[in-house]
Amino acid sequence: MATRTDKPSMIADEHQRHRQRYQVATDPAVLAVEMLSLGTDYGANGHTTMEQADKIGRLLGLDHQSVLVDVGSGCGWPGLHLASTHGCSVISVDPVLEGSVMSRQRAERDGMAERSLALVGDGTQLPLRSRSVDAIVHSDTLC
Amino acid sequence: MAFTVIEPTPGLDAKKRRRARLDGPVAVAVRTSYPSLLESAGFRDVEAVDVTKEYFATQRRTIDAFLSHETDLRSVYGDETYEEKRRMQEQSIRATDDGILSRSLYSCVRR
Repeated sequence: MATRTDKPSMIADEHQRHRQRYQVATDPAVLAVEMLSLGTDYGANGHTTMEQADKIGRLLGLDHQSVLVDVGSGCGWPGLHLASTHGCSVISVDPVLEGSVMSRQRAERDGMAERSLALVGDGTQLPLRSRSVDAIVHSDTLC
Repeated sequence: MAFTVIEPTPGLDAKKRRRARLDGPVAVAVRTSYPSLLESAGFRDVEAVDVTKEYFATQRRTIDAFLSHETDLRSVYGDETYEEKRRMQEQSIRATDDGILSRSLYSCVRR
């Protein structure tokens, strides 16, 4: 995710790159690569495997009362998976509208619409009150 | 908070740090260490787990998957983008194998 100190053109380029990626994220060949690489089918872009996501869930101590924020959530990985396995609620935040839409669609498909919220936002300026959530995750968002 | 990040391996000289920036993912550069950034941002109990070996294995699987699905992926991305992705994958895995790129799993608590 680009930071507030980056040049606006760099941020725009990065967002455009993600938009293009989201357009093909659910293509069968792209999902096949993701499944072979990470063991997931979310349309994920990073390198966080299913095993690592489960380790993150344990580190965060998530339970059914927790509210988790996934910053730079893209298509919903790993936040939606963590919410699904730990029973918590999740707020997915991505700077690109297309990513948030895909995250929302995945939540609905997984029957998690009532426990999830997908927002368009930037990690440097989250649209949330301070200390209003229990845990934060970001997966290869800083690079 | 818990997060994964790819970074230049700590302790590199200037030349190798430049290579890490060139060969690593976009925005891999960081001027200081993540633990010091987290502590200055008000986080405590910062712990890091080195997951570089797993990162290397993931990259290897991604490359193998790209090669085994090459025809379909060229159709999805177009030849130019496919070849650019492959070039970046090879650069990145070579830099990881050379010890220039690392991946860490950080966890910390807000004060």
